[in-house]
Amino acid sequence: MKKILLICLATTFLISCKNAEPRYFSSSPEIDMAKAHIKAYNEGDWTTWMSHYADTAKLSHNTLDESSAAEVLEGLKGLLAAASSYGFTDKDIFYEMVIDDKAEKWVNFWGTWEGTIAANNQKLVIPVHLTVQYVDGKIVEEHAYYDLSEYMVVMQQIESEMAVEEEEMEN
Amino acid sequence: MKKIFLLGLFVTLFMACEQKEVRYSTSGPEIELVKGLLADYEKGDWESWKEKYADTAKVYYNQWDDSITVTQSMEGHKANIALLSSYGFGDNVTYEKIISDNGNTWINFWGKWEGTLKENSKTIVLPVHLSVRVLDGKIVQENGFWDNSIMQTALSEIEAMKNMPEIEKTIMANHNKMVEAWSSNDAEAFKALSVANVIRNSNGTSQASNQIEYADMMNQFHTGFPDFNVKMDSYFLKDGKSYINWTCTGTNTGPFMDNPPTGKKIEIHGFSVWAFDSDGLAVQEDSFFDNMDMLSQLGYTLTPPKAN
Repeated sequence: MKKILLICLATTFLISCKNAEPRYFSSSPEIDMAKAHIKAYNEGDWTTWMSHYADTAKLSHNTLDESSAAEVLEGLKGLLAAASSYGFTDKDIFYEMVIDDKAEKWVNFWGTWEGTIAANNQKLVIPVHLTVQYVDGKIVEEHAYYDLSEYMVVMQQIESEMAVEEEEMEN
Repeated sequence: MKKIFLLGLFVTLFMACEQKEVRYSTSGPEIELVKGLLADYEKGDWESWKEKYADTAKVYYNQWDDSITVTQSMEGHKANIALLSSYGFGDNVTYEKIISDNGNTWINFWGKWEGTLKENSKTIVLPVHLSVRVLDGKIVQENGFWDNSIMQTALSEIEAMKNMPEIEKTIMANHNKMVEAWSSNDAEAFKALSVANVIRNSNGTSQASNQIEYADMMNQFHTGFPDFNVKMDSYFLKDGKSYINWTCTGTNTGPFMDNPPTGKKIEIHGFSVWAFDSDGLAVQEDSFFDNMDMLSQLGYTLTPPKAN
């Protein structure tokens, strides 16, 4: 009887140990992939950047609508066209991976984007959060959160300055 | 001896378990705290909202370096909410609790914020991420990430509307009514928005030269397509003329231009230039769209001419 009780206890311990399978990681192959992905973005290596996504990847940057990686790339290129330099800095950069209740692997990234607008040399600092799901080493879903209001203000300033210049040239 | 061995085994197992501390979960008191915080925000219960923060809590919205206090954050929320007729997060939200490498407890939140502006009833949808550090049951740090430019753009639209000359405001309002008149086949409403001898040219050919002919033409579309609907896709106004991209949809369940119904659906994109008089009434419409595209969607085919 005592033996059975002991075996039961041991089994309970083992099961609870199994349940405590790690679900939070500050390093993992997926985190390394995310780091390589950010590096490709910083270097403007769009072929490598694209290779991180599954063909069917769904991306949502500041919206609930879903786009393909190619569509988001066009948007990013449009934003970056105005910048003379850009990239994620080493400051305030943080990666983690979790395995959620659906057993999905998500890499969460918090970083600082810094860029200089070519037309007026204005520097912009924008905090960025990405949450990215990996399946078999490829990104299948990506959600990005970043504030573009400062960028828009700068672009509007440049536009109105250009309009004034044009008017002066006409007169 | 056996007992000691078993005891040893238990201790080992127990320690192994202990080492595997749970660092990720989707429930717990800290998650309940943040859920309560959002519920307070939605109810506007600022006293209860504020109690969830430590006195020294630091709040960072869309930046890392300069924090604001909880009181400043509350004032900001209140100022934004004053512009809205309704706001809040829907049910589609995700929470997680993690313990970071340095032992801090963070609640991460992802949700969809929706707010309707009082001024123009426009609904704004923002994906929002919050990362909140909880210590001893209180929030000590909050980092928020979302694209504020979406709200800024909506507010500048309202400002632009306010600064618009009266005549442009009238034209814009009449435009919206005109689209409604088109969609509901309301000849009387159209008459109130146009001059008696209003002109319509379609792809450069005259189609109507007074209100009765214009209303007849609208009626032709509604006879052929009882669910006919017009949507304004974009709109630009300059010097008393407006330039609109529009989309028309409908199902051909009635006779259209002496042709029997096909039962087919159409979706036509077109462009119109409208001219208005000094009272804001419509004087002329020059409309451009692909007739062939509409006929193809209805199933008509083009027969090439016979060779001579």
